[in-house]
Amino acid sequence: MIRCLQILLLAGAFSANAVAQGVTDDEIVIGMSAAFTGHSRALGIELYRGSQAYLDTVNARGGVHGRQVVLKAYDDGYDPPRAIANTIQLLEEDEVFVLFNYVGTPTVTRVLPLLRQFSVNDVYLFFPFTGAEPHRQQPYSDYVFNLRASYFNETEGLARNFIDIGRSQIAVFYQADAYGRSGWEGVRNALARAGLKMHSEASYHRGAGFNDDFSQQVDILRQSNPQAIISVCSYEACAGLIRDVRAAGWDVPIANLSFVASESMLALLEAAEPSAGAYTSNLVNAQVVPSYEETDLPAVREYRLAMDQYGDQLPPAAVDGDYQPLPYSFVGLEGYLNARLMVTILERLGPDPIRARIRNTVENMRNIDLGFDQPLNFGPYRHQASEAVYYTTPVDGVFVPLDDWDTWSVESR
Amino acid sequence: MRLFTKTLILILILFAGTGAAVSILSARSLHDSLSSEFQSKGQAIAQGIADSSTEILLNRNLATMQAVIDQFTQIRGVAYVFVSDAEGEVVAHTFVPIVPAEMNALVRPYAHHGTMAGLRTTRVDAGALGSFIHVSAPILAGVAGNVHVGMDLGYIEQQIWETVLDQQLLMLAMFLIAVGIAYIAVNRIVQPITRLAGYTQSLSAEAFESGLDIPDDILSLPQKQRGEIGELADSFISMEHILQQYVSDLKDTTAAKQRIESELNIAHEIQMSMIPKIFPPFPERRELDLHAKLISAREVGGDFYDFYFIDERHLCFAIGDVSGKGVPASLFMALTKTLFRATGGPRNSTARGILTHLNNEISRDNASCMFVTAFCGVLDTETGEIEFCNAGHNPPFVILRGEVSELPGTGDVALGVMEDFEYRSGSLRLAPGDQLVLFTDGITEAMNGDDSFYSESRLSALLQKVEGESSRNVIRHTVEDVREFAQGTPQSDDITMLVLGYRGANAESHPTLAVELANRNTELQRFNRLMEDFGAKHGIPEETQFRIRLSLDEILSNVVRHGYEDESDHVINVIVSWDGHEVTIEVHDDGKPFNPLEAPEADTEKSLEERAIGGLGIHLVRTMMDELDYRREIDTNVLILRTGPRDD
Repeated sequence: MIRCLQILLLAGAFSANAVAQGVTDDEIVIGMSAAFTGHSRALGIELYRGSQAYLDTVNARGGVHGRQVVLKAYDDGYDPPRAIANTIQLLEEDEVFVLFNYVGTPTVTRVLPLLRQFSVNDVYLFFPFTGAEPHRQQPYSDYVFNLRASYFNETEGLARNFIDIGRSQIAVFYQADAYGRSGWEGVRNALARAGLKMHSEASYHRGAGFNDDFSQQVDILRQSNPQAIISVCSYEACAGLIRDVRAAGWDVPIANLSFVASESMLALLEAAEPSAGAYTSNLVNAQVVPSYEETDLPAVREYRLAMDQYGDQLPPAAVDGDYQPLPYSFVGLEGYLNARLMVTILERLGPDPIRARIRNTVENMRNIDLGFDQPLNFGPYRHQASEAVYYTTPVDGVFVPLDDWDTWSVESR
Repeated sequence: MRLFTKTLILILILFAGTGAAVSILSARSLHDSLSSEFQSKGQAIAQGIADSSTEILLNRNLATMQAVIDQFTQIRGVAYVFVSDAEGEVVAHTFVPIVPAEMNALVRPYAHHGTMAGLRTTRVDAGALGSFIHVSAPILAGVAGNVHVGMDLGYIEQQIWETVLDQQLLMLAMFLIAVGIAYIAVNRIVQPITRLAGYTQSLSAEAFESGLDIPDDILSLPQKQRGEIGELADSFISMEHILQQYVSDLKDTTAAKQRIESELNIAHEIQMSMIPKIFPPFPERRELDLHAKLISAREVGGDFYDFYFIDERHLCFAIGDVSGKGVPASLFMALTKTLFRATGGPRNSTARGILTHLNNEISRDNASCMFVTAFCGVLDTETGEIEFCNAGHNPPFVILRGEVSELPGTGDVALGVMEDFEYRSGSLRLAPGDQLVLFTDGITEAMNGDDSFYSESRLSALLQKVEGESSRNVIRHTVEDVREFAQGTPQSDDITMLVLGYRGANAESHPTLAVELANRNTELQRFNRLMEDFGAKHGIPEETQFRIRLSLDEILSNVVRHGYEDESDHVINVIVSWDGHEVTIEVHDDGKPFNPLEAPEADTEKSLEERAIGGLGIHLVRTMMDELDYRREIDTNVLILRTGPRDD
């Protein structure tokens, strides 16, 4: 009896402690650091909008166990030191319950040691918007849970598809940082598995924008005359490379990763191309969520509904900017799904959520259905729920699922 | 300001040298220290990455690897970092857009037996990329690959340049400050010196007559400038004081001296005017050929001669030499000569009487104990008889019928030695053509450079040689011979000579022409006509007349043209005499003093315009005439020309 009392007391102490960590009677605060300004701001803003739309939906119907879920978001401008500063702010000052929706490989990669530092407080990062490997591998994989497929998944899929259609001479254009290296390594590994080597490569500085000149990289790549280019970059740089490649009269297929805000990239290219399709042909964008046009999926329908209802909200740092929000987007859908899975986890944590139970709870979640035909699974050594990669191509200004790779097969051309 | 320019150059050289030395030294030491710092930094980074990335590489986690190496590119001087794996492939790097070929060349695959184990540091010159200190650190002894770190040597260069530039700017600032200070300092030194220099220059123009007029800025210098400049200024000021005192003294002295000199000159003129100088003195006395000359050794001398007619028949003549020289001697001479004139007369008409009386007069109040040697004679012009008395004087020479002999002395003492001395007289008779030659010891004791005397014997020999010449010529030859003997040795005593020639009681008188001319050129023609008449009447050869006319044309027109400074009328006296052998012309004018004998010799090489006024004319006259004499008598120029008929 006394023993039971002691346990109860201990539990109460834990409970009180847990409440202090970002959970009050009315709110659960989750913390976000992402690019809301700069060349990658579309990613941060759309991700935020998608998540916020779902959270608003949940909060509107009463929240999680009676608590409103509040998303506290800071701008890091895709700059790793600011991401670190934001993280410390969120954990020490704001005392958020979990970290959520971080954007970018270089930022997240630098934040990982912090998670380890704060691991005694059971701090976890949920669903960062990056497919890079560092947080998918030991030791940092312990503190991070991913929803999306990895860049390895994306690049391997892209490489394999290109190899299948006879385009085995593959070049990589990548950002000179951890993100770019991650994609570069993915392509390299995929090629290695097929017994191939990377045909050629060229990098660019993080922070380069659409208005920068990429002709030097185009020249380097074109000299080796690859049969396909896999581009590991931010959307402005990707758009800039595509523009310069096409402007040079080169129609080589160019593949982009999910990190690219596809709609934003397409908008830049369409605005710049001299004739319709001049810059927007022969492109394939890998995605880690289905197309927001696939309205037969319940998640997509609900996403569009939520956006229609709550999509007008911008992160505080972006309110004063000139950013034109998109109605729907792949990134927005990913943000929506991230929030949906986050809320599912919070609900699973029960009415008195404490951080200490997070890992055990999540690792025991199986066959989660978020409504897009992909059963999601976590496990003790599985901190990535999905491995699905979707391939899309722009048609009439919209990215649609790519059904037939053979269009680009060497034989068919 | 030349001193400042020199200082400026000195400072410039100093600073340029120092600047260059400091820059080179600091560039070198900076290069060394930065290089070694960079090298150790690069090694530390490479080693650090290698140690920490083992796990990452083994996990095949290149994104983390990339994130790790990306951090290091922000460190100052790190140009690049890249990681190669065991196969020698670059798996993470910070290059954009591609890994340069030079860097790929540095990567080698893992060779077994650990040949690459350990830190390697090399210098890499990657062309356009720049130069680097390249450090390679093996990961797991090279089994897992290598970490490569490049430290930018260009950054070191830039640092060095910036440092050197800073130093040079500092040096420039210091240089400008130093120049400024030097300018002020040099100015402080030079300004007083310049002031002193200006002051001394003005000193040289100063007459030091008025009171001291030293500028205030110079006067205040010794107080304001301590040290050498102050002392210099001080000495300048006291020098001016001394100079002024000296000049004032000098002026007084000079004034006194000038006064004495002018008084001496006047005394000389008075003295000279006391002795008769116009020869022939008695042109109407045909029986006499009397000539005398006195050449003073100093302004005033103690010699004298004199002659006068006691009565129609008797000529009294004397020569004397006062003991001593200078003013006292001349005063004594004046006294003696005046007494000599006063003594002789119808009541005292013998030489003995005259000298006895003279001796008594002089001896009576001779407080200064001066004495006079004198020779006195009285000639009877009817008979040629001479009664003479020698008061201690050199015995004269007498030329009797062509034979020179010394006149025996009377053995008497000089005048002024002994009162009431009884002088004795001697006598002599001159025949027509004979000459008596009186002289003072100024001739016989004239010295040459060898301190030997001219001597009586040489005089005697000379007189023998010129026997038969006129009295005037005898004197002329003697003076010339004495001068020749002296060879430029300054004359130490008065030279005085008197020659009395006797032509006999019945000798004819010389014809004379005396003309008064006005100072007008037209008067020349009048003189020429009169001269022509005179020459024709007395049988002067045409050739001689021509030369005389030519010479007087020159002389007279010269006097008319240049002789007078005013516009008023003047009289020019011309006296022409002819003794049958020789023509003597005297020209007296009261124009400004002009001695044609001192006019420079004509330089006939020069053009007419360049020659000095009168030069050529006098040159012409010199060649036309045999002899020229000039003297200034109070306010009158007296020019005497002589010539005789020439054979050619």
